[in-house]
Amino acid sequence: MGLQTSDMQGLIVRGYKTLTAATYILLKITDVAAATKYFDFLAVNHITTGEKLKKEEAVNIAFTRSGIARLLNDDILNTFSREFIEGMSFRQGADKKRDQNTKMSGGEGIESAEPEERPMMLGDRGKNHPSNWHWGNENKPVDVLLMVYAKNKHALEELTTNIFTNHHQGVEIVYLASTYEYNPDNPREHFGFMDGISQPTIKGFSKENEVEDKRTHINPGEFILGYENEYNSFSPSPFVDRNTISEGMDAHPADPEKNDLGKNGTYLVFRQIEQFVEAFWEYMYTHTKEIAASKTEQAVKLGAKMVGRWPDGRPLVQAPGSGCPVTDATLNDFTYADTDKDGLMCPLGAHIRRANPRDHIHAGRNPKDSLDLSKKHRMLRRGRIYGEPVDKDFNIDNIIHHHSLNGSHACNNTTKKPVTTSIGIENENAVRGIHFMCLVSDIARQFEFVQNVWANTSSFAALHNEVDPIMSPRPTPEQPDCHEFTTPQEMTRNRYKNIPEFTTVVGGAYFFMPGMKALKYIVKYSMANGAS
Amino acid sequence: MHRIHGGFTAAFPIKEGPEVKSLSNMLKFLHNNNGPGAANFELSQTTLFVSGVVLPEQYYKTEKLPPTFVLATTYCGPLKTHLRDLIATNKNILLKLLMFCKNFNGGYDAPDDEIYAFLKKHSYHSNFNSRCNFISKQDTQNEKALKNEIEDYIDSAQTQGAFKGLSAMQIRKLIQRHIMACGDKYAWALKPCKKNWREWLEIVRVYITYQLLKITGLALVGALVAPLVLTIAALFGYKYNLTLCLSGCIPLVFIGIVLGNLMTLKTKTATRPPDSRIKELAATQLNPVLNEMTAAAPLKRGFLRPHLYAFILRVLGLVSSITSKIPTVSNIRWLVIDNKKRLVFLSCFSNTTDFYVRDFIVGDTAKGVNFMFTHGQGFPDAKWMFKTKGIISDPEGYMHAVHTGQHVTELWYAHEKLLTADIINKNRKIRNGLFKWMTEEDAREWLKLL
Ligand code: HEM
Repeated sequence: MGLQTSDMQGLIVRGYKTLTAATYILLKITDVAAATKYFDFLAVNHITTGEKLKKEEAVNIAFTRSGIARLLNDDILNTFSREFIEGMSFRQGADKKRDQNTKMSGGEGIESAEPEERPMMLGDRGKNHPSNWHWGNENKPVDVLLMVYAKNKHALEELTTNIFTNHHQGVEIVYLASTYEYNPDNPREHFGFMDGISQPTIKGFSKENEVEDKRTHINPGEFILGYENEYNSFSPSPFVDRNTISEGMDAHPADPEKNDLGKNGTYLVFRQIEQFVEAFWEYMYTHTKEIAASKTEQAVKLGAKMVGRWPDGRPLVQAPGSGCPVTDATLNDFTYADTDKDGLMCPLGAHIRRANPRDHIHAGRNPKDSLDLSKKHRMLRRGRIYGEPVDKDFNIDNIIHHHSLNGSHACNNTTKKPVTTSIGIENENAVRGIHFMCLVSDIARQFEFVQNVWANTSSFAALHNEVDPIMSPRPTPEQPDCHEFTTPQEMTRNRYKNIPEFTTVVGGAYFFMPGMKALKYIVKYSMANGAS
Repeated sequence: MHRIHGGFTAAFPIKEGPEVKSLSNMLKFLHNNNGPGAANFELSQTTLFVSGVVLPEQYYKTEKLPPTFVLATTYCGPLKTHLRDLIATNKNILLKLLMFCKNFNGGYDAPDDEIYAFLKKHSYHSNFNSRCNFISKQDTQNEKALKNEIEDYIDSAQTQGAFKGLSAMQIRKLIQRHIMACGDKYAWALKPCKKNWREWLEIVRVYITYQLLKITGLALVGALVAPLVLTIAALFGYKYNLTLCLSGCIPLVFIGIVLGNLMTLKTKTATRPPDSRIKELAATQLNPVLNEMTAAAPLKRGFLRPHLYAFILRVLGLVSSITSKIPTVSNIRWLVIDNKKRLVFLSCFSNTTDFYVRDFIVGDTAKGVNFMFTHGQGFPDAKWMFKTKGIISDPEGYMHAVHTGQHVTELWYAHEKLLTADIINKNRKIRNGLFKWMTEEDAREWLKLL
């Protein structure tokens, strides 16, 4: 079955790299009927599909559980996955009294006395706890996400005015998550590392003449609902009754009596993660034991070991020394089992090794099984960074010498002056970081699995007392000693201790990004039923 | 005493009425309470893991399988010593629990022998495997401490530049000296931990049994297929006695019927249970490293299935250290209770249940697990009982069946909740390599463990 790109929203097919300006508008529905009309207007006129980009702009839309509940009904909502229904900030005991104030790593997070499944699993503890978030928690719930892309800042303003300011109704902005200008030739995240290099290649999306490599190509059903996934089955997809409103939609793969609301749609995970750049490089500079020509290079080497790539994107397994050349073609063409089973080049606990262990999931698996398993936990990353970089050229030397070593830096960004645009304050209360976004067909199996089992678990790869140095919380009340990172060496490893959290999650939610037919269904259903 | 790990599992039908709920509450109370009167399995040197769970009533065809209390332990050493040790250290706890069980007549002053006999009487064989075999509770603690000591020493030696320019052997020598200088504390570590004769015997037993099983299997297949080949040959004019050949095919036909009975069954796969149930289960799985799960399901129909499945579990149980290959597991067991009609699965593993069960749906492990579960009601039917389909192509159905049959383990004890089997085994390698004869190359490899 061919991929129905015209029924998909464009973000699934491409990351809009040439559209360098983007903003994510997080909305709350205030009037269902009016909002429905607005979504209809967007669906008919503006939503960009997966077909070839016709205009130099793009608009995509996604809904949270509360958005779906308001536009559709609870019965339909209940056909979505449990993670989506509960939401990213779901807390088992949220409605019960919160009487335990757990302070970790300087955080003021308040945690419930009840076990909190999702925050525990995702590592949203201490400072990262949903109760401290700027959006996506009980205080600031979000119903809808509007993603707007244009070729530059000016065009973005125009587009936003055109599709939002002049037309919006029935919705109100909860948070304006704007992004920093994207550089397609050198996309860096704030610590200064090139990002977005490793993306799964989807079967059926290959360019002409490209031979599909079984090792790396992944079935579309891993990222798009309604297609076969890596189990050669279908990821659970929401469904609706067959009736006049759902006419024209495809049958549900598990129940042909129903229509597939998920078809050509996907789940979108959004996490706003604040980054403490000065503190990151201060730690690297003052603690590094790696061997290199200068202190700065030593710091860069330690940073690279934590990420798994050099700042310019070269993977450590291909380029163990800072000077080793790597071609663009091999930037992502590597595995670990044969080349680096002990982590001498890329440490076993490095961010990219945890986020995608490729053919070397340590725990007693052969390379083939590891690769098969890794392919069942991939995600299509689509995020962008926000906030002004510490150094506009992402020059690490400058960051270290002009910023990081300028006094001692706590893992806390001092609040910046708010930037107000025509529609609201950009990234309110946040300074700089990543609007991490990924598309998956199964939130639990892909995003949550990676976050929990590979990133946040201290025993990953038979390590001990360490978690992902970039994105995991540490230490936690259950594992007070868990704050280490080791870089294996020829003789004795270097062990780093008391590594602070260089990032804090400050917002997040799970969204459903429907296919075009499904979007039209949502609008039609809401119009017909006046759901609230 | 040997350090072979075993899995003791006993299932006790619970007295009718409110006792089921009360037992459940008691288990919870014992689990959460740290005060006097609480379970103290730490005291029992032979006890590595304990699970106490109440299985609700379930139905096999129309037959009611009663609410049952399952008590499972993973122990080190001889079973008799373990049970005596468990009774000696946690008698009051056991009594508090057994009071709720049918046919337990002893009161609070029941003698040890009566408890022992009751436990034994209700115990079941299981297909059990521990991935930390031959490592005792004390060993685990000691080797963890040794590893930490060495790690701290390396840190301080590195800071002082003490390892600069040294070979791996020389570094190891310095580490050895440091450990020797710690005096009595690590005196036990000066020699590698050797297996005793009983442990070697166990290894040899498993190996020989495995080979014998393979040979027997091949011989059986040969013996079954040979008459068929001869019959065909006879039909094509070769001079074989057709009647004899045909009668030789009878066992094959019989086995065909048996397998057909087990395999052609098309059963209904479990549907998604209410989210509230999954939430309740998930809330008990929030330990950062090790977690536990117990699931139970009546077997699928098929008059021979209970016997054959129990038989295969028994046989596989003999060689489980070779055949059981789930890498995230600390220990695992499958057994059948209630006259072989209810399948019970218990496992201690790293990660949460959903992620753990997801993690083994790959390669041969998936096939093995497919075979073990496909016989349970609600689990997706596997082709040829293991090869394809089943959990391999319907992981959702499998997850639904797991959640449907999973029960909150109210009482759970693990001796080291933050140590996975991989880490425990790695610590053992560190200890064994410390004073072992080594070449420079070996010493380099050994240093990589740290
Ligand atoms: C502030 C937070 C984060 C930063 C600074 C960061 C940074 C990076 C960088 C520099 C890379 C290497 C570039 C590449 O391979 O494409 C990378 C790769 C990756 N990251 Fe992150 N990341 C962050 C959070 C996350 C989160 C929350 C996840 C998901 C749970 C994640 C998943 C991945 C994955 C899957 C890869 C690709 C690994 C591979 O395929 O080799 N990252 N990240």
